[in-house]
Amino acid sequence: MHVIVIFGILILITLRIIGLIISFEFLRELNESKFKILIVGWSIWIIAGFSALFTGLFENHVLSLVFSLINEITTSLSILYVLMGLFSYFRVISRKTIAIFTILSVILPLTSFILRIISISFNFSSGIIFIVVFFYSFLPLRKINVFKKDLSIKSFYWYLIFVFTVYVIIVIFIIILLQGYTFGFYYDEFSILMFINYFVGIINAIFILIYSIHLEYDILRNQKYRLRDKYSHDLGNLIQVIYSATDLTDVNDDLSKEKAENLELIQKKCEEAAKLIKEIKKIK
Amino acid sequence: MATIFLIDDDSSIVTLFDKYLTILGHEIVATAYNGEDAVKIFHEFQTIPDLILMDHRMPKKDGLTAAKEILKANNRSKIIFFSADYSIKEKALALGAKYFLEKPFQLDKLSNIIKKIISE
Repeated sequence: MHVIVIFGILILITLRIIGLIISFEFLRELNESKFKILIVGWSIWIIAGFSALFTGLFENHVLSLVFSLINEITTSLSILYVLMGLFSYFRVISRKTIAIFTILSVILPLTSFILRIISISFNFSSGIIFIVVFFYSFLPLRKINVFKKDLSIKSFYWYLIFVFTVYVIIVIFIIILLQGYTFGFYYDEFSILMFINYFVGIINAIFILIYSIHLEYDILRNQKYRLRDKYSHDLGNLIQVIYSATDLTDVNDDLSKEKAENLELIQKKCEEAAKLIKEIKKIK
Repeated sequence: MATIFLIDDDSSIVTLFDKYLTILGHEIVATAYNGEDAVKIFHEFQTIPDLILMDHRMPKKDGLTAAKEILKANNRSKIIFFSADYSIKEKALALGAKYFLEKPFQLDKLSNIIKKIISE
C-alpha cells in the first residue's frame, strides 16, 4: 500500500472520528433522532477506514479480498447513513426507506461476492453509492423553502460546495473503474488519480463537517428564537390578563385608598413587565 | 357605542375584555376562541358587527388567516388586531386591519382606539 494511501486513509479516519464526536455532542444537546443516524454513519465510516487499511496489510489474497468487501459494504452504508442524517434536517426519513437502502447496500455486494463475481460486487457498491448520493443530494434542493425559512444562506452555500465535492468524487470513482481498478484503489504504485482520489475525499469530509456544524448552529439559533418568541408571547398574554383585571377592578369598584394604591402598584409593575417583554423580543 | 365581535384563544382575556367593554356601553355580539370558529360565526351574522377585536396566535386557524377570510366575505369589516406577536403588525395592517395593539396594553388604550375607529 502506497504511503499516500495510508496517510489518506488515516486522515479520513481522523476526520470521521471528529464527525462522530460532533454528532455525539449535538445528540447530547439537542436529543434529535437525526443525530443517531449520523452517529451510525460516522461509526461505520470509521470501520470502513480501518477495513481499507487492513486490505493492504494482508499478503493472503482471500483475506485481502474479504477486507476489501467489508470496506465496500461499510463505505456504501456509511455514505448512506451520513447523507440520510444530513437529509433528515429537511424531511423525516421513514424506517422503510432506511431498511431498503441498508439491505441493498449489504445483500447485493455480499451475494455477488459469495457467488465469486467479485468485480460485480464492487460495481454494485459503487452503483448503490451513486444512487444514494444522487437521491439525497437533489432532494434538499427541492426543499429550498426550508433552507430559506429555517437555515442561513451560509448553510445553503456550504451545502452546494459539499454536494459539488461529492459529485467530483463520483466522477473520480467512474474514472477509476473505467481504468480497470477496483473500488478501493489501494495500490502500491503512485498515480495522480490516487492522489486526487484521496485529496478530494479528505476535502469532502472536511466540507461535510463544516456543513453539519453550520446546520447545527442554525438549528440552535432557531430554537433560541422560537423560545424567545414563545416565552415573550405567553408572558405578554399573562401580563395582559393581570393588566386587564386591575383595569376592570379600577373601573368597577369604589376602592379604598389602600386598595387603590395596591392596584396602582400592580399596574406600574405590569407596565415594567411589558417593557421587559419588549426587551426580550429584541434579543438576537 | 359599538357592536363588537371578540376573538382570542385565552378565555380569561375574552371574559375581561367582554366585561370591560360592556361597562363602557359596547355590545359584545359574539365571542370565539379560535380562527376557524371566528370565520364560521362571522358567516352566520345577519348584521355585521361594527368592530372585530382579534388575536393572532390561535389554534386551528391563526388570526391573519381568519382576518383574510373575514375581509374576503366583507371588505368593510373593521378589524383591530391585538397580539403579543409584534412581528405580524405590518402583515395585519397590509391585510386591511384598522389597528394593531401590542399585548400587553392597558384597557383605556383599547377604549380610545375603539372610539377613534368607530368615529371614522
